[in-house]
Amino acid sequence: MNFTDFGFWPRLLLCLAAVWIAKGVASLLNKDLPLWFDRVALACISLYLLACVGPLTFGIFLLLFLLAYIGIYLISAISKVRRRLFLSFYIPILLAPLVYYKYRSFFAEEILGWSKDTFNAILIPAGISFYTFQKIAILVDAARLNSYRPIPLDFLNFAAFFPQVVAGPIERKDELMPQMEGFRFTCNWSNLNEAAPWLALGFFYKLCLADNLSPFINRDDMASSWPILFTTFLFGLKIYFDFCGYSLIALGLARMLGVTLTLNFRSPYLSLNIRDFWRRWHVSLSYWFRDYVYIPLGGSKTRAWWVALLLVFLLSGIWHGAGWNFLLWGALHGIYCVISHATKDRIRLPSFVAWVITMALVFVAWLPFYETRGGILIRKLTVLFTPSSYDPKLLLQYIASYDTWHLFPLLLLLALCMMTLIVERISIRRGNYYQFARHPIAIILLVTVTVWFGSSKGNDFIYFTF
Amino acid sequence: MATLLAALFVSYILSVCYSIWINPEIRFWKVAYWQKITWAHTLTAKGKPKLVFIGGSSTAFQIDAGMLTKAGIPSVNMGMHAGMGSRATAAFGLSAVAQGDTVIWAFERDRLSKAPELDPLGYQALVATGVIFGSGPERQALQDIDPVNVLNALRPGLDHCAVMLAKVVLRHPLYRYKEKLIRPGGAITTAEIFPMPHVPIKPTLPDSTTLEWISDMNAGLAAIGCQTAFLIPQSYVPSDDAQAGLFANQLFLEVLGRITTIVPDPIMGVQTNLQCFADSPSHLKAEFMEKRTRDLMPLLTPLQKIQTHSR
Repeated sequence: MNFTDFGFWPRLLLCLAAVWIAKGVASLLNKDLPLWFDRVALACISLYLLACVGPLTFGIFLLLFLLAYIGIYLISAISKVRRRLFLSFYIPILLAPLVYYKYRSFFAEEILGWSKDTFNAILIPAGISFYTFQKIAILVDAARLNSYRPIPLDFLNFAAFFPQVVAGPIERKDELMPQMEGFRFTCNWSNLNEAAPWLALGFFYKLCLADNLSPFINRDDMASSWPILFTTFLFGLKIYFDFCGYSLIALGLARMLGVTLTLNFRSPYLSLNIRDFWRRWHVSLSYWFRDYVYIPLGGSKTRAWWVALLLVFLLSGIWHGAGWNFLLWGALHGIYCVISHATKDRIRLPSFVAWVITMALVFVAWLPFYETRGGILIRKLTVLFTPSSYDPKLLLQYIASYDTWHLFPLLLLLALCMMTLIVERISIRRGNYYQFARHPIAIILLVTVTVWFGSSKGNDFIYFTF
Repeated sequence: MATLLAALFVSYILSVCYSIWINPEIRFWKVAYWQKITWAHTLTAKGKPKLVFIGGSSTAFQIDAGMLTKAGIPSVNMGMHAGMGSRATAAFGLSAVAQGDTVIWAFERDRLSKAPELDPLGYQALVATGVIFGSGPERQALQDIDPVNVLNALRPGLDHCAVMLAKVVLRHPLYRYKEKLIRPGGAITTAEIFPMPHVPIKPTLPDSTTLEWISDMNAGLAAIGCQTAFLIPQSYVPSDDAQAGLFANQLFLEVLGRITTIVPDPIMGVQTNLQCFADSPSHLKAEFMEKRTRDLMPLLTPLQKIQTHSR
């Protein structure tokens, strides 16, 4: 569900109003609503909002929900010795819809070499990668426990909790399930006040920064290295503000209902090395790969740790999308991480130098991430590896290609992005991520700037396509 | 949360007030619209059927409706800013239409090559002038408008704010056109001359939804006894590209001719004389606007005869 779509908020408010009216009527009649009322209401709201996304998304979600619950039920009934075998057979079943919808064309056309029109283009259910991974996680966790059988209603709320179902964070059983088991609709100022900074910051990141960056991202200019590098830089900013903005709004929505979600981004563009970057970027996915792929493969305790690490990043790449470009992006980060791990105790760089190098590596890797057209990606890489394309005259030509009045919005936008990153840095120094947004003046500023500068052309969140 | 909601409410109200009353671009077009519509109402009050030119700024800078009226062809130039979107420019023009008038569509080719649009600037101008609340022929161009989109579009946006900020800092005029340069009849002139960018000629056909949209409006206008025709605006084409430009416009007009009468402009919108243009490749200098108006008179007279006859 798109939190910046104006249709979402009236639907949510109507649902919440219905719950409050039911509670109010019960209170007037001096009757206590059953304990399960709040949890059933939450499940209904989540399912309704998910159904509004589209019938395909809703149908596939329900299918996976049923498969996952049956899996958990079955795994709790078999001995611990056989559970590993069961998982190796059942996880592919959970992955089947994801593979079918997301990877079938890539597999048929790129791996098997079948003709391009073997399959008709099909819609990918929104958020399928996210909720598939969440369900695999709970199934694996259930296999580690003696006899874990959640109540279906709580499992439904865990799996379908609307602020996070479509684009994460990929929540774990231990964090979200207890909150769903004891869920109550409580309307208090404390929850709303805690939610406000996340909502203000999230909308500012998405509407004001990410959406306004979109028109400046010109993917077709390959006249020299400069437009390619600048476009890649802008995309790097856009994807951060877009996805972080979404995650912050999700966090704020959950806080409104008294639920705490994982902080999915922790100022990743202030990281001083690649390992640090991956502890701050899309945290719930990084930790998922660490706990369910890297550690089961032996983790850092084996000699072949680097193979496991590379594999994790290749999988992470392909998780983002079906294409060689995503594999290349994953491979680049895998190589970065292996080198970073191998040299962590040997090389010490001044903080600023370490930051510049880390950011250069991260931003360069965004090129294969956003350039999904294989042929164009190769042409762009060729230009980047041509020394003459870095001629300063070409840079001046590129700058001159901007119309004067077109340049000011870009400069203002870049200034806003840089100021935001500086304020994030100050926040970290004071001990908390995004702490600055809690100040009432910051909320007023964020809201005002978002209202005045926010783009009126709606853009979907980038991660919806994953 | 109270802070957030209060800030949201106050800043939204202020941003809407700015967009409707302070934004220099909207202020200019609001004044232009009122002058045009007042002229149109005067002609209607005299009981004379008129020609209503509807289009973007190329229409505003190319047809001197005052001259045409003096020459016995009552006309009003309702050309507005094309950046408002074709639906907005059509709505502004249609608000001037009375029974028995002849509507001359004069949209730029690129505007009709895509689906009918309504841009934020268009929403702002429609609200500022009150046309969005109108119930006359303009409703034909404003069907299926989502009120949420209207409310969303009333905010100024980063591009506008940044440019305004830069203009204030650089002490540049806040808007390039002056109210005093609006002529009786609605034509707009400018003293500014900008270098012309070279725009490569791309043959494009009218968008199918746009064709349907124009057909529907033509049918609605026919129901109130109005004729319609299409006049392609002139634009600058370098001599080397003239053949390509003619070919592109001919192809375009052939398709458009299936749903409406085409005013037989002999140069078919292709002007190779750079000296004719002011600040854009479709804005004529005042003297060339007068020349083009004189050239058009014999082509427009039959249209006026038709309308007088039909009335």
